[in-house]
Amino acid sequence: MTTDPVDAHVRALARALRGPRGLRRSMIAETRDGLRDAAEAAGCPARAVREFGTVAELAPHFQAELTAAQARRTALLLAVLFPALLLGWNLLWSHGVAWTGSGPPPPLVTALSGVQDVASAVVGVLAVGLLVATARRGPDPRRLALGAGTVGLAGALVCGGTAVVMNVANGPATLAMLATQPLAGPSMLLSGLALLAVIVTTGRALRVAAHDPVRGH
Amino acid sequence: MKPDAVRGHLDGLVLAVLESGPRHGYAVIEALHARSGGALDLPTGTVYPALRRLERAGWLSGAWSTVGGRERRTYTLTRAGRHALALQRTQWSEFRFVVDAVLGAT
Repeated sequence: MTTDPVDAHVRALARALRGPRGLRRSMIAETRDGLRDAAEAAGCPARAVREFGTVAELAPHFQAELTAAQARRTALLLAVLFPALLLGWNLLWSHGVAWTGSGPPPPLVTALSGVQDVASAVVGVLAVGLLVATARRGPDPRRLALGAGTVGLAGALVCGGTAVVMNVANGPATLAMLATQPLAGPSMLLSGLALLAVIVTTGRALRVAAHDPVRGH
Repeated sequence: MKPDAVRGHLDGLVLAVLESGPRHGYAVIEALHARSGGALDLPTGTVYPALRRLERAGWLSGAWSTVGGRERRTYTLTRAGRHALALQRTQWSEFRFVVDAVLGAT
């Protein structure tokens, strides 16, 4: 194990950080190179490390950028997926991939369908707002990550939950649709995977927002 | 000059040293040190996240390249960055004028 103060310092900084792997690696690589330059110029690695700043001084600044990046990618996913699900299902619906059978669906199903449409649209609009905010220096990145995580998770739970309840409440028509429409099954599977991706990504955003780089959790 | 006094102005100072041309992170630190005559007493490591923050805002563009056999990330001031720098200079002049007037500078 190396005892090079530059490597040791950069490793300690890296351990304190959470967030998108690619950006974290890029920032750490850049920092290591810069600190090596400083150590060579000073002729004393220990002095260069001292002037560079302690992990407690630096980590919050680095973590803010990682948190902003996590918020941005979460908001981007929400801004794309929720409107895509809304438009995709409306398109399928208008092309015959719909509940078939006798009579209109139960009132509960019609109401939940409306809730799902509104929830998807609201998540899409909020996500675009959060995406714009991540491109600004002012807003607190932790709040943005917390916002994107909360909005996305709530959206996934509302849309996923209403979808399950609607299909169960309208069971016979759902089974008939799956039997007669070849696109219905793959579309449902794809929608489920999309909501799963949202839950995983928003979970990451919430964990990064809660991370304290100085205290280590 | 203590870190607390510099903190609110670091972004503007970084933009200013990049006005003359692209630089990598350590070159930015060197330029800040040289221009301030060594009076800027801030942890030099804070410059790296500041560069990323300015890149995120669209005021800098950053790209990896090989310089002197070493991989370095070089930053260039964008058009939006030049506008932001001009605005910061105007705001600083106004602020300095007001503080000078109140403090009674001669």
